[in-house]
Amino acid sequence: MIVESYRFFGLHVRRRRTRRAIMVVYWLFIALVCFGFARHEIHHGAEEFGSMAAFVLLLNIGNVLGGVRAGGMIKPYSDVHWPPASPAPGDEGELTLFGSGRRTGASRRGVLDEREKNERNGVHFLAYTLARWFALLLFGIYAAFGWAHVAWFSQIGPLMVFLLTLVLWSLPQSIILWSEPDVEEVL
Amino acid sequence: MPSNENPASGENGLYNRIAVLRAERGISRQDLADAVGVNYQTIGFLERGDYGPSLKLAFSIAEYFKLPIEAIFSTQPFRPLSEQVYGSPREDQR
Repeated sequence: MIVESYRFFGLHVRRRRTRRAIMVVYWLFIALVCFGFARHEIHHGAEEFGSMAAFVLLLNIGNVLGGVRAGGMIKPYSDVHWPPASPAPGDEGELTLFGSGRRTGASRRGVLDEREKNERNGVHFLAYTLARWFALLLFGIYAAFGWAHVAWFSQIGPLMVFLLTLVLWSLPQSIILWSEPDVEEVL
Repeated sequence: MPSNENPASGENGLYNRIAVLRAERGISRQDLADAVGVNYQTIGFLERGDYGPSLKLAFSIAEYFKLPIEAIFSTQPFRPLSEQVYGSPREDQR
């Protein structure tokens, strides 16, 4: 499912070791952003800057990791591309509901085959399983802080929503990038 | 490439001769992948036994090689082709 030609700051993503290093850096960066966000919120209250940074970060996740949209390290999960791709010559394409995308049936590039669809489905099940336990953990922490009447209790809610959204948006891609073998191993 | 004498069944418990057939006919993974409509990495996963094909894909591969499906896929390890063609080596030839 990896887009072999993709380069992350010049690094080939064909090798699993490289992808794992990218994932470690990515999640460390997320942790740093969350820590800074939390400190900022706790000391100064939620402000526009933190919300805008979070919003920009969320928008960029799909574009770097791929999966949810085209252009990242992983092929798009479905053959409906957003933003809509220009149809190839002779390919009339088909507008999907609400014009959200266009099926590009003529080109196989980037389209998942049966193995990749199975992998996608399996990874999403695993990610959902992990995410629901993570959500339970977040709720437990939130409830504990509320019960303890922590002074900044009201400010950690947005951070938890942000964390959960990040996990839901990027965990499947992270699992794929972490576990997919080197292309050379498969050949 | 898994040897025919010790073919890898992988996780799905299915043995196959795809690598041997490709080597015999000088077909690349990309050629086979294009012919059966999958990505070439999937052919690698199939050969290693790390992925079990759907019925449709298995039949597509069989049609491509013009062989019956049981000549390509099996739930039991394949005997080496040399044994199948020439029989088991006799005791005095070992």
